[in-house]
Amino acid sequence: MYNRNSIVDAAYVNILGFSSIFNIGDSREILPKANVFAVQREAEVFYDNEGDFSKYDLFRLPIPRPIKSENVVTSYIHEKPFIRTKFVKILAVSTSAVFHIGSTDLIDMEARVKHNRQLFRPKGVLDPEEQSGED
Amino acid sequence: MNFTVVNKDLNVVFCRVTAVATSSVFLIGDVNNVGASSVFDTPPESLIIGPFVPLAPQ
Repeated sequence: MYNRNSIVDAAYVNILGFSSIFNIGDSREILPKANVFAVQREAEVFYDNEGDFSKYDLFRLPIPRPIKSENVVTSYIHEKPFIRTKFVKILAVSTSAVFHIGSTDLIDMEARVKHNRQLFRPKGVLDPEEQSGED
Repeated sequence: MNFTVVNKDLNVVFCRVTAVATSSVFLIGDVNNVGASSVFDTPPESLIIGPFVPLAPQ
């Protein structure tokens, strides 16, 4: 396929993180993948042996893909061979996201996020709401 | 099915984006195929109240 040219005068990105991509120029395939195990604790406690992805189905099971039921034959007419943008400003690109200036054939992104929260109560101490007897 | 796309003049002056996150794409250009998958899980049992324990130890 014949692609258009992208003209961007200036681009500003503040943060790029967690297997995200900022690409200037043409590309063939972009396949970013991010597994995130997010733990929020009431106190600053860190165990370095934590987060075995294989213990959760969320990180193991394949993601279902849509089934193509009809074959679509597409033809393109580019009346103007350029896409012009003067200025782009982005605060953040994160977790297998893509900011691409230029043409590409395939972009296939995947992000799996598991959130956990731990609130500290010593053994035998009840929740204050439970102690008051109110629902 | 036959499908025809006519791309006319495209001229953008200013574009401000706060965030592109969790398998999303911001593209200035042409693309044939895009697949974006995102899985997010916060079940009720993800809130643990009690003494701290390591989660999914290796």
